[in-house]
This record gives sequence, C-alpha cells and structure tokens, in this order.
Amino acid sequence: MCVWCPLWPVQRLLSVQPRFKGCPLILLTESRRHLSVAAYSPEAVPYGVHVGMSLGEARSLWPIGSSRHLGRPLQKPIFRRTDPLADRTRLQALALHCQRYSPLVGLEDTVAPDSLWLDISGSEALFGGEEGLIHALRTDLAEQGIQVRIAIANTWGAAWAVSHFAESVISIIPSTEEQEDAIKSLPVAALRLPDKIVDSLRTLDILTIGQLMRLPRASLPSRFGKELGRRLDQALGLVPELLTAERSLEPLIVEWLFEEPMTDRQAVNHVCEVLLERLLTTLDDRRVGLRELICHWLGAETEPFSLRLLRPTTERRHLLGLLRLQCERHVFASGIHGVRIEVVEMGLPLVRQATLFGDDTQDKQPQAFAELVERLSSHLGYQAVLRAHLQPDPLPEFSCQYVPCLNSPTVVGGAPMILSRLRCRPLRLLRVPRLLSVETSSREVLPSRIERLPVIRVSGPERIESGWWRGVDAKRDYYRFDLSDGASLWAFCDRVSGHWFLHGLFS
Amino acid sequence: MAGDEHRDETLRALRQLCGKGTHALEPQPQSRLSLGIPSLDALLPQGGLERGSLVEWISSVEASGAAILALQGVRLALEEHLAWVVVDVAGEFHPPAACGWGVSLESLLVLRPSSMEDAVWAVEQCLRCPAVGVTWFPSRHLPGRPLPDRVVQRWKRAAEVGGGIGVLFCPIEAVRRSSWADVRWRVESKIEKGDTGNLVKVELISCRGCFAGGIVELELHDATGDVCVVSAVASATAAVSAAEV
Repeated sequence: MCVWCPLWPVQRLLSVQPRFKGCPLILLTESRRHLSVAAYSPEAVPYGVHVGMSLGEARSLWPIGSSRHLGRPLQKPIFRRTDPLADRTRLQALALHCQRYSPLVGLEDTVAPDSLWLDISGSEALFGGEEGLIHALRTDLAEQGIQVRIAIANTWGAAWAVSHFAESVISIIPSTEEQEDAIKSLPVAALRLPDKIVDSLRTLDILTIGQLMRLPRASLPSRFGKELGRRLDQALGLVPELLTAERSLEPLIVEWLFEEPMTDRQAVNHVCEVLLERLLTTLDDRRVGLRELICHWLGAETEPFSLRLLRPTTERRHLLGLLRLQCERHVFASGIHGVRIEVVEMGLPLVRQATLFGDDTQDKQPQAFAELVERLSSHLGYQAVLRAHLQPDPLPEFSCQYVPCLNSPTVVGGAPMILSRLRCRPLRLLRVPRLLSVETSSREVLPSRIERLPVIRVSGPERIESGWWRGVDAKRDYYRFDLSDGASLWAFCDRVSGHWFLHGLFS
Repeated sequence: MAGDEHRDETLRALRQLCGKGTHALEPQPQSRLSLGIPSLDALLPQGGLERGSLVEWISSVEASGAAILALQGVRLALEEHLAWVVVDVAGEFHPPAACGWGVSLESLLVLRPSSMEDAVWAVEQCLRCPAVGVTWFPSRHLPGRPLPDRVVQRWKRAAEVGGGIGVLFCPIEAVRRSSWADVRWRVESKIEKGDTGNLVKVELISCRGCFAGGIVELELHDATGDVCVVSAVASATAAVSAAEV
C-alpha cells in the first residue's frame, strides 16, 4: 500500500500552524541566486503562483492597495521557508503511528519523501478487507488534518504510480495481471524517473508507460540509462524493491515514587543520582552513551528539564555534575510525588586512547571543551551558549546568526566575506539603533556635533538599502564618526525620516 | 689504580643519570603568550604574558580601540587552544568585526548569561577550562557597581588552573583601584584631523612581578588590518617653523 500525502510540506506546516488554514501559504526554498517557490497551498493558485518563481515575482502577484482580487476578497499571502528535516521527522512519526495498520511501515526512498509504504499482507483481514483498512486509515489521518491518496498493488512501484497519477483518490489493484493494465495508461513520470529522463522521453513523444513498454527492451539502457529499466521492472514486479521499515526504539525510563510529597532538595538530588546511575548501568549493557535525557517531577507544576550533551557519554562524574546543576535551579515548594528520568537520545560514545608518551594536553582539549559547553548549557540554558555563523546579508543586524552550540557544535563553511569590509564594522553593535541628538545646519550636511561633542573626522558613507522582503525596506547611509573625546561611533542616517541613529561602537 | 678508575667512571655515570633525573623533575619554563603586538610584548618581562594571566584594558571612552588591540592576541592564543569565549551580557558583541581582524569564528563561543551572577560564574568556568585560550568579559558598558575584588581574585585562581588568558575591559575609574589583574593597560584614542589611521596611546600601568612601565603609540589601519608603531619623527610643521625662525 502506498499512502501519498500531496503537498506534504504545506500539510505539515498547516498541522503545526492551524491559523494559516484558508490563507495562501507559499513555501520558499533557497536557490543559488534567490528564494524561490517550492510549494504552495491551493488558496494561492488563483493568484498565479507556480513552483520555481522567485519570491519577488510571487510578491508582485498580490495587488497593492486593492482589497479584492478576481471578484473575491484579497487574502494576504504567507511566506515561509521549507523545512525538509521537519517534514521528514513528521512523516517518520506518521509512519510509527501507522504501525497500528501494519507492522512494516516505511518512508519512500527519496531525498524529500512524501509517501508512506505499508506492507499490509495479512493485516487487511483485521479491518474487514482492503477497503476497510483504507477507510480506517483515511479516517484516522483525516482526524489529524492530513489528506491522502491511497493505492494498493502488488509492487511498491505500481502502488506509488497509481496513488500519484490515477484519477481516483483510492485505487486497489487486485492482481498482477491487472497491475500492468493499470499502469499502462499512466504517464512515464509515474515510474519515479529523474526529470532528465522524463524530458528525453517526452521529446521522443513517449508519454505513457504503455508506449514505453512497446519499445524494444534491449535498447532502453543504452538510450536512457539503467535507471529507466530498473524502475519499470520494479513497477512490474520483475525485480524486488526493499522497504526500510521505521522502528521505534524501546523507551528507557527509570522512575522513583515517594511515599509522601517531598520538598527536601538533598533527598531529591540523591534520588536523581540513583536513577541516573541505574540508567547508565543499562546504557553500559547496551554499549551506548547518553546524549539527551528529560527529567519529570511527578505531581508538581515545575517544568521538566532536559539535559542535552554535545556528544554521547557515560562519564558518571560529569553527568552527575550536570544533573546537580539542573536540580539546583528548581524549587519544590509544594512537594513532588516522584521523579521520572527518560532517555531521549543515545549514541555511540567516542572513546579515544590517550597518548602513551609526552604531553597529552592538546588531546584532552576537545573533551574539556565539550564538558565546558555542556556545563554552561546546563546552567545558563541552551539558548545562552552560542556559535556565530556569518550570513551574506548587508544589514548589520542580520549579518550574523547565532545557533545554540549543542545544536551546531562546529561552524561549517560560512558565507565568503571580504575582510576589509568586515573591519569597517564595529565590535559592539547595539541591539536597537539609538536615536542621536546631532547638530547640523541642514539635512543634506553631515553633523558637526553629536551628543554635543564636536566631530573630528568622518568617513563614509556606506549606503545600505535592503531588506524589502522582510516588510520594511531599510534605507540607511552609514558613517564612522570620530569624536573629540576619542570615541568612534558607527551611525547612520535614515534616508526616510532623516534622523540619525547610533548603531555601533568601534571598541 | 684500575679499580679507582672504574669507580670514578661509575660515579660519573651515576652523576649523569642523577642529573638527568633531577633535570626532568624541574619545572620546564613555559613559553610566554604574545599579545600579537611586538611593541607591547617588549614592555612586558620576558616578552609576553604568563599563562593564566588576567589582563585589564582600561580606557576613558568605550570606543577607544582597546578591543581591537586585545583582539590581536586572540589569534595567536588560538594556535594552542581550541576556543575563544566572549561573555556577552549585553548581547551586543558583533562577531563579523572580529572576523575582519583575522579571528576565525570557528573558535568563537558566545555566552549570553541573563544575570551578572551567571556571567561571573561563566567567566570562572571558562577560565578554568584548559581548552579555552582567551576569555573576554566586556564589563565596562554594564550597569551597576564594579566587580568585587573577591570575584576577580577567584578568576585569577581559575585562570592559573586553566592556563588561558582572561581579558577584562574596564572604565577609567578602575585605574584608581587596586586589581588582581596581572597586567593592566591604559588606552587613549588620539584622533586628529587628516589622519588616515586611528592613533592610540597605550600605557602599561602595572605588571605583576616587576616594575615595568612604558608608553607606546600605535596606529590601527582598518583598510589593511595592520597595527603599527607610530614612528617617532619630528613634526613636519614644527620643522618648517624652525626653519622660518
């Protein structure tokens, strides 16, 4: 069985953000030169949006100053970036959910999957046949706000083709003989072929699978490559196709229930340490390390805390230290009934042999650094321990992106920058530009005094006009002002209002 | 005679072995860390900073160029250590500028504690870590009273354990106070009309363990990224005036 979720990125986002329902939702992806449309909701179709058009083109489809479009009330578009990882994760969760219909449920084998495969051999009887199974599954998914097209066939390839290209939302192909007939009339794209091969076939006026099957088979590999023959054989069931089923890991949970509500911090700390020791013993048996855990305080309104590490580890001393740091931050005013610790993520710990001779200080540095980051993140919070990534954005406030170090332990690549241009940026950039009081004879003339201090030297301007896609276009002329007291300011003149703002200081 | 010769030879060999052993037990003199500016290194005893030092950069105005000077040493410290940590309570540190002065962002870790207590704790943790080469704490633009002595004392001890350098930026009022910092610099910006670079006067106020002192005038070039010593030549205007006389 193939369960296709059409417009999966849109459906996934709408399930997370229900307030976007009914609005023209447009998802963008970063291409080489610009942001381009990757997917859109049906509400955006009347406006003329199509996949591949740039963000600017898509924006221009919405008339400015008009409240109606084609006789209907104008709906404001919502632009969001695609999140392939979140799409995949949600689909994996959906696959695990669908294990109630089949023990073997997997994702289609592509970079951006939007279909589920279910091996329903034998399980359809539990739902009163294939129709019953489809009905139960569709109803279940519809309750979650997910619209699907479903096909049942003897091969994955045929099921995929029929679910994506058949006219009916539900298709059942009962036998292998009918399977060939069912896919003959479908377009060649139903064979999951790369666009390049589909275009080649189209230029030869081979539009359907039936036309393709009439070609001499021996000539196909030399003309279109091996992929075409493989996909055709997979759809017809001549070569096997494997399904990688999603598996949910056995949860690792330890729990301690108190006989009466507990407020004593030391006792709670001790219980946490005992539970952690139990967890680590289990992890030792499995030969894996701890990467993330979550600790629930039972019977209390206190939020559970999560402990995330830079790398999987089983080092008791370090983990106990982190756990104590977290416990110190919690106050149990009303008492708790128990503690439950659950392992969220585990992995293989990296064990490296220390040097036999000589100074091993250098070898210990990565471990010491990882421990420091974990300790800081545990005490200050993950959002307070950050890595900086340069962004190719001309606006200074967007030229650097901060990512929690635990999510991005290393800074990979980064936008290419001209160093001399970066040196013209101040080391201290104000979060919000501050309005300056300046003395100037006219709006066209540069200030002679800033905050009552005479300006000794000015360099600039650096004109920055950008950011229109964020809603408000920034039009600024940046100058470096050296004042009589020795301070060097980075200020800009807002070309819209004419006001001067302090944006940074050359420390 | 032969026996005496044999005995002498044996003793000599034993002496050599003992000497080797003693020598191995002696603490090896550690190399100094450079500030990245040779003229400032020359003012310090043994031409650099001792590992585990606290360095204070004091200036009357914030935007005086002290941070750019301190940045020159970060690049060198990162050749031996993994990380450079900036404890940024105000959330206003701008890494692209540091990148422009040649410091790779791959080594940078930015901390944004929500309170001063957390910041003090974080600085101590970073100084104590052997992987952190430089810990920055720009405290001068933070509201509130100056850091208590016991805090800086704890930081000093932590830096000695970790072996890195702690860099603090302080307002001019800090000159009058005693400090646990090992090296204290005072930076004054000298901006004059017509200059292309940014002139700064750097004065070594104190250095632990010696009676060092001295003043150096430096020029910071944004265009090239160089920090040069200003040549001590007579002013051209003065020379002309003398000729006229």
